[in-house]
Amino acid sequence: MREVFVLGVGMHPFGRFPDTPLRALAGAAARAALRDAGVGPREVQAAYFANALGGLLTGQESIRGQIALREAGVAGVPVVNVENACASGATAFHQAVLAVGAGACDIALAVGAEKMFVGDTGQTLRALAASADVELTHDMGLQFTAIYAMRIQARLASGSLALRHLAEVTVKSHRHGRLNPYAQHRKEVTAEEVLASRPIAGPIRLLMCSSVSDGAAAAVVCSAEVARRRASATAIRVLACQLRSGALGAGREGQLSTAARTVNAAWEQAGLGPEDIDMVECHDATSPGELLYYEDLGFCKAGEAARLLEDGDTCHTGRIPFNPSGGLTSRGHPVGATGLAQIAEAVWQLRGEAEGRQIARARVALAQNSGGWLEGDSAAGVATVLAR
Amino acid sequence: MTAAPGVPAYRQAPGEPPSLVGSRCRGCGWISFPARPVCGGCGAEPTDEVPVGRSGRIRSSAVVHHAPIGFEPPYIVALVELEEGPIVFCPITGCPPEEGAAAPGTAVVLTVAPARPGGTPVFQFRPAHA
Ligand SMILES: [Zn+2]
Repeated sequence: MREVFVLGVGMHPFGRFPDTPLRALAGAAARAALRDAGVGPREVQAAYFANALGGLLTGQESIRGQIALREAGVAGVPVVNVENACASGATAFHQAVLAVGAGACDIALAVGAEKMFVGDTGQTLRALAASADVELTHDMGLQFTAIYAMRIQARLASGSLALRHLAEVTVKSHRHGRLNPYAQHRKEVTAEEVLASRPIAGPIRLLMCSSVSDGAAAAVVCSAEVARRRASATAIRVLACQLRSGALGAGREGQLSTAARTVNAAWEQAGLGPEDIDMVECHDATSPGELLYYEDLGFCKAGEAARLLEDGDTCHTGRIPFNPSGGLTSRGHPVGATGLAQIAEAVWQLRGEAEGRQIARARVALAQNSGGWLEGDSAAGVATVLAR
Repeated sequence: MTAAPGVPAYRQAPGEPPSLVGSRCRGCGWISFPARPVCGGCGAEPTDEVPVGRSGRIRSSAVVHHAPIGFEPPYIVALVELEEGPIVFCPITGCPPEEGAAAPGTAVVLTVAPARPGGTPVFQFRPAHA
């Protein structure tokens, strides 16, 4: 595969935007990414549009990408609609990287957008529950926080995590989010406030959860030749981008998780490992999920997540900052946009443009996005390694 | 959002305990749930439909406090490891909805009942000792 670069990224802030339709969120992020890349809309040769819930929430089941991308002046070229639940955004990025890497085009656009505030929270939660096998889980009372709660509860029962760790990782998430102008939640919280907030499922409390959110993010990817001719100083190299789906029997005893298989494939493609990574954006749909990813992605051994957190290694000023953006919990989780927001944050950090939340030594970054749920594990996973 | 026509998840003959509808690979014996024509273990065909999941063990569980519309929290949901190997998600019934009531390792047996007032019957597990 040819070398691929990220030439520009952009976001529409995440949060509650009741008067902004999906197409306007998507258009704003796409235009910001094109401006950042110094690329005109008519230079885009292929576009991948990620959205997970729009069909159920607005009734616009088909051609959402063609509708939304017109807002950015992108039309006529191949537009592919991408759906992979909460991993839709990184899946769209993966497709754009493949298109450029394969030589099918030189400039591709990936956009992820989600509009979750539709005036009926029950409808939004029902749409989210469609990220599992609906025929098997219908009328069982499934809600997605419970999926994280079950894993965390098992870790509390085994003693490898304690409630204080769940609170502390949440405090960290909100401390990071406070510094991110694109984040939905920009207020610090205390451990006491976290543990006193409303219980949602098992040990997971309201302040540990990513919220319903509106937002969009986008990235322009290009070939080496285009990167050289344009703003090459700011082009970020894609060292790896791997997409996997959950394996048959994924959740059974002794199976590697979808996230672990995906990141292992990314390490192989990049020729790197966790020891080479300077920062991680991971899929903390609930803040304690980040603790599980420390182990799953290989940043510490099984059972050592609590120590990594307690040592301060994963905070903004630590050895290996996790989610300097605030992650899903604080940045917000408009599901189809999240994967591309992770890419945008990594690019800004690698370029040294993350302003108040800039980490000290960002040369190589990992972005990890998970989506859907089957047989007790994620149905989709994407791992991307970027370098300046 | 209706879920019909659904995959046949469970069967219950009159006077018999319910079972889940799984499949076993004729080549390697691997059990799938739901039943599938291709083996998830070795990739071969054919498979035969077999009753599974009359019993299992809790892999992990959580008490749901904030429930979808129509459900009455608190209630317990769990991942159950069937005795034949597959992992399934479902509600847990027959024990108080408290942390620790359906702890990992708890032996459970299959039952079929609605999980909410007026709901469709779904497969659930309850502690074997209850
Ligand atoms: Zn087989």
